[in-house]
Amino acid sequence: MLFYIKLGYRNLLNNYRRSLKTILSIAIGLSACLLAQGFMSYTLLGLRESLINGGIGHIQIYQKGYLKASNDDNLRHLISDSKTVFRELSNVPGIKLFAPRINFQGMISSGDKSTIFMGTAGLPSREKKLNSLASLKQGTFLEDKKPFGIVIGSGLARKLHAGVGDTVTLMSTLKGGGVNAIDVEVIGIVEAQIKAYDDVLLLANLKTIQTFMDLPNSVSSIILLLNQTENLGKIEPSIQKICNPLGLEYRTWNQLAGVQYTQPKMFYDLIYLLIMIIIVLVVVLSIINTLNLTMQERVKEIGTIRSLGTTRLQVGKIFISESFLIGLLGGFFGIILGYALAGIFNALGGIPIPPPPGHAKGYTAFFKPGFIPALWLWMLFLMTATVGGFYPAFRAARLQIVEALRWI
Amino acid sequence: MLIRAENVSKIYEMGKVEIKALQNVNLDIEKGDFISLMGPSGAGKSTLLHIIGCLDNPTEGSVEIYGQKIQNMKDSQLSVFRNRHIGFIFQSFNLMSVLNVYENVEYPLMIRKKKVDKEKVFKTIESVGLLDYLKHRPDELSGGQRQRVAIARALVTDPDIILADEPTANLDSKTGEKIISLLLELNSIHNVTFLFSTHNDNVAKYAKRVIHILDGQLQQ
Repeated sequence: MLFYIKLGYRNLLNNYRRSLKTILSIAIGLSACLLAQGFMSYTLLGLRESLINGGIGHIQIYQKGYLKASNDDNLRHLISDSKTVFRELSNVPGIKLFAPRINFQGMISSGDKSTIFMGTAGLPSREKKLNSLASLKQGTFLEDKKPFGIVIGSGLARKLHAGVGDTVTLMSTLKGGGVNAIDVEVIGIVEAQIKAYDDVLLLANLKTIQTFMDLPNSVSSIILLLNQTENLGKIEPSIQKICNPLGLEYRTWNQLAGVQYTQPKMFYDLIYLLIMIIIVLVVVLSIINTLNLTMQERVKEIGTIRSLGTTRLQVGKIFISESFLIGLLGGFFGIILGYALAGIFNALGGIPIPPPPGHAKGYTAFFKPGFIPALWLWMLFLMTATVGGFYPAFRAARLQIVEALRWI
Repeated sequence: MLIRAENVSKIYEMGKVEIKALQNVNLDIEKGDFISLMGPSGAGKSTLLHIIGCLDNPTEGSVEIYGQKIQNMKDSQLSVFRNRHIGFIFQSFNLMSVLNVYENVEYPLMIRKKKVDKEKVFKTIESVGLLDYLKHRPDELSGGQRQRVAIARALVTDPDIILADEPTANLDSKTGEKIISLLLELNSIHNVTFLFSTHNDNVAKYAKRVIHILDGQLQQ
């Protein structure tokens, strides 16, 4: 095989301009794919981290039955002995923080306007670290020293015609079926990235809501934030060990995010696939064109080597070794070019992306091409280029020796 | 008998026109022969060489090499057969431009699935007087030197017969005579069988046996 590779290499050098053009076309194609992969990888990574840090966390722990319960009934499935769970979680390494929450809903009224809200009550110091999804627009975030202060979404504030410093009334159904109301002060307005969420978002102090709802020490869920998302697999067994004896269950971020993550991922995967198919087709045509031209120029040579005893298969190998080398070199330079371009774009400050549909804010995209995807792309382009050489190789192998020798 | 061609005819169809390149050719070649195939252009010299060299099949008749009928062989078998038993020398040398002298001569051995006997390659190159040009590419050699490389390439597999299609046509007369002298020397010393085509009387005179061909028919 080395003999064919050597021969292929010499033939490429012999026609170095044409070879260079083809290698360059593969390199550009692969670098475009790598940039697309880097862009999508960064975007999905950003989406993942924003979902995790924006309230979902890496893991959420619930009382068994809570997730299946209806909104009216979920107060009956709370973690009643949260302190024991906190103690157990404190012994698990790799957990950055855990945040207990009560999820509640009801009506909010500013006097002349009323609407529904979806409330999350948490410990202010911990929620601050979890709610990067909702960026603060006005006022302050939840504070321990302001137990009756709430933070609402900008959409909800608009509906209520309420601003920072206004007093609003929350009404909610209690565990026993009764209704309670509490006056609270809007101390901050945040903007959630998802508009539908922004229109109902309400954040409150856990201890205040536990008192208001008459649920001392009870929480709906405990949100765990890990030091690194990549450690999830290592930590999951420890969480399972804690949950089983206490009658608890847990969900990981990807189960919780659901379509919020899987739909954009599918969308990006589809676009990436289309880009790759188009580029791969261009590469195949480019290889076929180059090797066809090469074959036309070497008809007499093919006749000669066939007369010396080279089999059709061996002629095919000579041509395929050339397309293999073109793919190998094109892929190598494509990876270098892709990483270089990604580095340049990132150094220039990335690319500003407008808000996606349903989102309130845009973001700056960077390119984060992965090493393993780069190697896969290299393999793909190597295979594509090699397969692209099959047709010219077949044509060369099928040439009639006598006609080839007479070729001028 | 090394080669026996019996009633060999070759007809080319060019649209509705039939061209009879060879008509009922009968030819026997013995081991150690040094034969010149003489005739003008279009007489059928190359066609006969191609058929004897297993590069083409006759329309009628048969060719046997050491009793083996070549028409019955598959393409892959013919390739191996050519590599083992037949050497070729072409009018325009037909060397591979990307390979140097050594590699060009080594090529017929490289395509065998065996380890190359490098000593044999060197000795063959030495026998055509090109040991000082091992690393030279064909475009760095004169016409005569290129044809010597082609001869070495044909010799290196120890073929039963070497077929040369106008081996001196692209060379000046002096160089052409040197090349024919070399072939004759190889024939005398190593008993290599040669069948070469030419339309040059000065070249043909070196042959031990001259066969004339005209309009596809032998004029023996």
